[in-house]
Amino acid sequence: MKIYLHKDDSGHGPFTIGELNERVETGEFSPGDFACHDGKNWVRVDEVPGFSPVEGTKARPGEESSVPSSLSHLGRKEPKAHQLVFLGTGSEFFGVWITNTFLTLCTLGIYSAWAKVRQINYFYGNTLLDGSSFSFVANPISILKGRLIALVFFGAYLYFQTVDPLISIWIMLAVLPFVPLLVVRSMRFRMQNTEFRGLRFNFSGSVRKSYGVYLGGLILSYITAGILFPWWECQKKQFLLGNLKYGSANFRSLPQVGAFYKCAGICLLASIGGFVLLMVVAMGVGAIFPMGSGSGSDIIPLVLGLLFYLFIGVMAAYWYTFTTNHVVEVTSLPSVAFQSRMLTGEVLGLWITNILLLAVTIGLATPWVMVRNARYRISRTTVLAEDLDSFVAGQVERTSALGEELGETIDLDIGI
Amino acid sequence: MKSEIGGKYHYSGSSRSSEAKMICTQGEFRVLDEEGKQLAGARSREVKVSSRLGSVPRMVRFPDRSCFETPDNDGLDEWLKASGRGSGILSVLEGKLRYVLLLGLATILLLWAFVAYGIPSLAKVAAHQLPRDFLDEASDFTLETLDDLVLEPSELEEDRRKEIRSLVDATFPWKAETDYQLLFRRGGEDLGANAFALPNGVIVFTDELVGLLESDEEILAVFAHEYGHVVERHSLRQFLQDSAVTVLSFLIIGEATDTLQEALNALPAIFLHGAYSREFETHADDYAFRMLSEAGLSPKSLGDALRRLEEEHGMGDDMQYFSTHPPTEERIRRANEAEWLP
Repeated sequence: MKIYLHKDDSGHGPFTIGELNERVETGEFSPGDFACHDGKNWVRVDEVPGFSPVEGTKARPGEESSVPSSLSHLGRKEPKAHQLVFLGTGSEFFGVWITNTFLTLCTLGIYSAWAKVRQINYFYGNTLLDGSSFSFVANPISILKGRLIALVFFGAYLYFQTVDPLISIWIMLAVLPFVPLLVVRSMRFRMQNTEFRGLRFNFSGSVRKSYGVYLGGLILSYITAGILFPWWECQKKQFLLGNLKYGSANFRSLPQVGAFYKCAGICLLASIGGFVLLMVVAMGVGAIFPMGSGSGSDIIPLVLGLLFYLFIGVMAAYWYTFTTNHVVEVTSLPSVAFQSRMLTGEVLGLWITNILLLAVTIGLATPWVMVRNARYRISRTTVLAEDLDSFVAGQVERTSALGEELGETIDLDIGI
Repeated sequence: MKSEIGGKYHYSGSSRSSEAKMICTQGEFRVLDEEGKQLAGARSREVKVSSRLGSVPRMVRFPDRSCFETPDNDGLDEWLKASGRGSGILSVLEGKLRYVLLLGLATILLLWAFVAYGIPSLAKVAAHQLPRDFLDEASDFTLETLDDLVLEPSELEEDRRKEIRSLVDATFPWKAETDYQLLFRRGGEDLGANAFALPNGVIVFTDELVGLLESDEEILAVFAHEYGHVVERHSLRQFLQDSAVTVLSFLIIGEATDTLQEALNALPAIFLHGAYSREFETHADDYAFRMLSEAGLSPKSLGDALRRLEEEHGMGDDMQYFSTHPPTEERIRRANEAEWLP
């Protein structure tokens, strides 16, 4: 029996049962850590067959807290931790991507709808939860229709951007009232075509509610000069995640407004500190190399610009990591909870290496970048479930892809 | 051929799932549980099989909406082949190193052909199809915006304007091919000595330009260059080509770029904008050389005008890749070498 262990966000092993017992005895692992012995499921170490607890190594009291509080309503039964696994590789996906790109070029873009379905399926199909994969079953024709309409709109926007920027701004403003509608349609399309174990997901958020959250929130955070922005972000996440459905089961999502404000507060303080630091550095450098002194003085604005961009990157990575982790942990399905353990440093490292990879290879590294993003995000997510078998199908009304394609065109950021 | 394939059976109407195996007998797919009891079955042409995609597990969907998920791609493909269904050409193309390399090479060539020839020639056709009204409206907008933001009314004497207009009319009597309208404005600090053309045939000279150019030949040469832009509809084509590149880069790398990386999407369009523009400038120069020599004037006068403009603006050549105009030296050399039959 080969046993793999998961502790502190990294994998260990394989070990035999004897080695496992020894390592628990030495305190390297504890009975509360997660282990996989059948190649499929993650269970607690003390549930591994043949594990013989030695005195003094019983689960420490603090160990239970690794199960998030949202599971407390689940009852007595101990949930199993299923580490989400991503099996795709950059080199394999390169084949898919280059074929998609080639056919898209050959057909003047028409194939892009089929390419999209194939690409999403590569990522869904390689995402394994409890040994089963996800699949994307959208009809490419529907995507193609949506893309054609979006293209007309995008063309008009681009045209007026060069001819008369004022009109292009009016076009954007004219679209703004439809954003909440697009969000709902786009989520419905995406979710209704996502399948796990033959059962579809769905999105039940109403258009009316969406207007309240998106338009109401936008107006409120605008007139309060951004003070309500963290609250608005929280509302949006709650709307998007709390209205998901798997079969007939509803997701629940209760993000804490306080957590968003805490995160925003830290970003704000760091920004002030960073700005002061940057000014000091700029003045110091300016004193050493006065402007126009020749050697090296051209480089200074560039370096300062890069530092500024890096600083923005750190803030964005922190905000993204913190809010995503939080939002995932407060979301649940009946008898299922989720955990996300991303780290700001790792996310930032991922972003920087991705930009370098894309720049150095003039875009050819795209498949690797996409796989790296997916692998990181997925490997940091754990699903804690008592039972994944008991969900049943619900009613589904079909939705067209227009919302999704228009939404992508105007760069609607619905990231969940 | 395998006698059975292992996988998971997903029951219809719920997320219930169990370990199972599938067998294929006499053109019929049947799913059995571990004790050999049949869970689902259908004739091979009644089941829907998801297409092969890397090592992604395949779904065999039965008419009762239950499905069988298996990672055994090869085993399944053998069965499908035996029952007369191929596994599709896509997975073959995607999966074999030699095809992938070939496709990669073909894609790069195609991309180059597209950017260098495909997009420009499509844009050319499209630009000449656009109706007159559309050009007028677009041009009026541009001129109004420029008038509001940059340009000021001309302070040139009425006589001088008339003089230049009649000079142009007298020199190029065949200009009726495409309408034009010569306007004058003050360029101010932003534009200085400059000239530009709008898609509907409006050509604008700044007062500073008229003051800078010393001979009638030079004025006619600059006019001919701008007239070349009008006849060939360069500004429209530039716009169409830039848009096509933007759409293309979104289609290809758009999915890989999130948040901060999105800035990368705009790079191809920024790079190619300059390249396309330089090509248009060269074409407009060529047009001007022809026009001048047909009117019995020397193409060299365009070179002289360019020399004066460069001395006025003092542009360096260090940002060649982003520049919208070819190096002036090169343009002057071409003007001097242009054929001229006096």
